[in-house]
Amino acid sequence: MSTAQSYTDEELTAFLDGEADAPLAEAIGEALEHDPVLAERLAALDIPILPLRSAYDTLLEAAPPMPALPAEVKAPATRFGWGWGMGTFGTGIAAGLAVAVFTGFGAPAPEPAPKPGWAAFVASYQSLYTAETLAAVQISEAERTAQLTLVSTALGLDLSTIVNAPGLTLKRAQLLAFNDKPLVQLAYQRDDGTPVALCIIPAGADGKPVSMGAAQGMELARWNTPGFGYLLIGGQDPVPLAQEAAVFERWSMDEAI
Amino acid sequence: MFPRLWRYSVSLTGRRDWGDDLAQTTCVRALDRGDQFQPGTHLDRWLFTMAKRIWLNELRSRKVRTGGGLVPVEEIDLPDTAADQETNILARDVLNRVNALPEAQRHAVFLVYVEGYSYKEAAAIMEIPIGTVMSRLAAARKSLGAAMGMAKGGAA
Repeated sequence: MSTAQSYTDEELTAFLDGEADAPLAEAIGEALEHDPVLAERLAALDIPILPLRSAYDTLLEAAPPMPALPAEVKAPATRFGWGWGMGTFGTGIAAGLAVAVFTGFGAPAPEPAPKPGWAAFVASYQSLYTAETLAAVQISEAERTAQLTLVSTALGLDLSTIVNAPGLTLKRAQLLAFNDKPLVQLAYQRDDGTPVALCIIPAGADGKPVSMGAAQGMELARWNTPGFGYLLIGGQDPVPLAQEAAVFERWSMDEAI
Repeated sequence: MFPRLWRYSVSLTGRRDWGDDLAQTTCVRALDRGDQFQPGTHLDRWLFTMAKRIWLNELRSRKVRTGGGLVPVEEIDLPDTAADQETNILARDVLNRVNALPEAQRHAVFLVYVEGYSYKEAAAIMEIPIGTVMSRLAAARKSLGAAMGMAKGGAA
């Protein structure tokens, strides 16, 4: 008997689907060269996937429009009478999700306040910066615009109008990620060389005023507008940081309206 | 996203009218539970998992399920607006063949071959081990392959 018996239908299926790991795929590929029984078994499992997919694509065209949903959720009157306890949803959370369901992906879906971890993440990252890190960085107006456009799109918040707090120079705008969420970092440098970063992440619907704190030996200020959490961090002096935070907070409040 | 959710619901339930209900019910529940959605994760997988759970609960509570599969398996009608008639007939044939599979196999085929999820992703949506996804796909390939082979043989 041939080696055909040594491969299960599951293994052959994984092989056809490109899901077999490298040693298995190689072994099957090799066996196929001299094992007609195995080749026959594989052929029997090899169904045309593309026509199948396109058949289902025709079904997409048949989809009804999304039903209008009431502002206050009650159990829908379906023909099964499917029902369960439905809370009401008057919050921006549900509204934001509705936007996401309607429009597909990419709409910023709101969530509860970000986990405290993100400030620690930002602080660790920021602690790597020294005055020298940013001193050599000079960006042109065009680069600045391009970077801000990129991060604005990823974050879902227009940062092109962001103000310059007195004494700070924007050195770089970059996109990081925390817990699979976009995290935008705007790297500034004070006139005295101190690196300061403004970080923004999608957050819950509740606004919160500026609160000061410290992490990784640096001063920080954090606040929230509906939908976004802000963290300004850098240096060891809370006085200039609080002044800068006030300027950015005012801008973020205007932007949130 | 709604058309994809609807298509998934039709495929899962095997019936268009049940799919309508399931898609709508899933939307309502998704809005109700919006605070549980983690931004940065995949909305489609979250909705699909939710629809699947709703459907399984419905099956359990209604005892619609008897034996290995659903009792009523209907033909899925396609819109008459499809570009050319021949393509439409072919598509209908494929849909009905997949729809005739046992529910568990149909579910795996839909997620992996139609939606293009990896085994791992499909297993997560179905909340079953990857090995089970593999065996369902293998079984589905076997019966679809046999059905198509017979159709070819019959035509010759």
